[in-house]
Amino acid sequence: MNANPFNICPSCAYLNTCVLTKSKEKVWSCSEYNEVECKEDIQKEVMTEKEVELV
Amino acid sequence: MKNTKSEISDRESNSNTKEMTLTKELKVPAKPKNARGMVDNVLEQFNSASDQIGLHPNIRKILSITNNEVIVNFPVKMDNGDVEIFQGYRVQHNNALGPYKGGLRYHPTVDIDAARALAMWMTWKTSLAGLPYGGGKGGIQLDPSKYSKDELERITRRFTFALGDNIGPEHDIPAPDVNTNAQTMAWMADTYMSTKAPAARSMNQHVVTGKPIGSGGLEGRDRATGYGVFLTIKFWIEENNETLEGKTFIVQGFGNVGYWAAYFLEKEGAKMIGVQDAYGSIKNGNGIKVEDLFNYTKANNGSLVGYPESEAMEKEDFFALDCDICIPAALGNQITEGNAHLIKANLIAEGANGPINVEGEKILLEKGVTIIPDILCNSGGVITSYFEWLQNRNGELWNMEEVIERLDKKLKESYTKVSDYAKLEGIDMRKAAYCIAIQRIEKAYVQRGIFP
Repeated sequence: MNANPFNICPSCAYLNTCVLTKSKEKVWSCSEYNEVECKEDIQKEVMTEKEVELV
Repeated sequence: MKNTKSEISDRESNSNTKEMTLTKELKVPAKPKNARGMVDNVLEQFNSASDQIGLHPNIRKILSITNNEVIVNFPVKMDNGDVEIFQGYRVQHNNALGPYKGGLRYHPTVDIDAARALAMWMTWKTSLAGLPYGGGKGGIQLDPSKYSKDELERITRRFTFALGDNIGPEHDIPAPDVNTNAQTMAWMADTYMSTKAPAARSMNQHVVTGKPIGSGGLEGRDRATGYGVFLTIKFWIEENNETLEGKTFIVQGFGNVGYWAAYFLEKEGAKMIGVQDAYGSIKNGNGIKVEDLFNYTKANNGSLVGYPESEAMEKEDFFALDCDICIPAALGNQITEGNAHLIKANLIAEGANGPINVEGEKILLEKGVTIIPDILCNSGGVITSYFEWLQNRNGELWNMEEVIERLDKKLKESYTKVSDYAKLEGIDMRKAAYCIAIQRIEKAYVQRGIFP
């Protein structure tokens, strides 16, 4: 079993301002982790109907 | 799918453990050379406890590696019509005591190595808590911020489908973790149940725990870990013929664990004199009202900075505050060789996972500080997961009082075992906890043997 680079800090909203730790390279669990919000629902691209050309 | 040890663990039968011989290829993990992280600590604790109890070398081999490692690559249609391929993992460390149990996390840095150590950690935790579970962990390598809610739902459902019968209510029971929540579990349960025959669907609801209360979730799950932290502190205080009345405490992290631990401690007469969250640190020797601070943070974008009944303090001085009880309830590696000597509390309750590193712990133990180890202190969460599983399995609906009452009983048993063992063997509580956890698994192997 190897040590691993798993670290949740880089994706936390508090990354740059957090005062809890200076060691932001090996945090695998944190109660203050600000869960990343999922992106706003993307407006589904409205497919414009192609006009049928009668030949 | 890669099976590393399933042939050994899944074919256990009667045989003499002393006689058993395992494949020579199974290696004890090499010690990592990089800086110590939580993962390294887990392995070191395992080896140290194994030495203490004289764990049979063959069982040490078995527990040093994982039973099964499942990797699935699966396609999901995105909102714009494109198809993306995702990679998901599920590591099943050991199931000698029962179905694998552990969280699923969605994160860009999730990989099989990360899941391995965390799965192993779950094996010790469920064993110590006296639960009929083993340990597992998993997740999907993705950045949730890049996906819409609809996409995350489809990713979760397709991942559940891809895992298929590698999970199951009597085989492997996932739970929420980083970037996954009750909603994620509800999607998983619904998908898993939908793959079963109509008449069998409702008997599969306990395939995951941490579900919303309306979908099979358990009352009181939100406060369970914090309440457990409070209980272990209370047990220690009572054991030392003292009371919580007038005791002072500091808490790092004011999330679910820190807040609820503080809430129950205050109800018993203890006084919170310092709090630290991601935004800053505050103190007040006369006490900070837990509920008032909680309401303040709610109205202040989650931050405790500027709370009127307190003064701000330097973050480096936080753990040096003069108090009776210190509760690191946020993250790992907070108490180290750099600040352990500053700590004035005579009890540290590890609400977070791995908040004290090995060097810091050594200093604290030499100073005579008692540490209630994370594996015991914050086990209220996994114990209530077990209650949720039981509730679903038995077709019951438990109320808050029942949950709290049963949690009290279960944690008291765990605490007493650890405390008694530590005194009997003259060792610290962490080592005692690991010894008990590993011995329970060892006993199962000795009784059942290794098939064939």
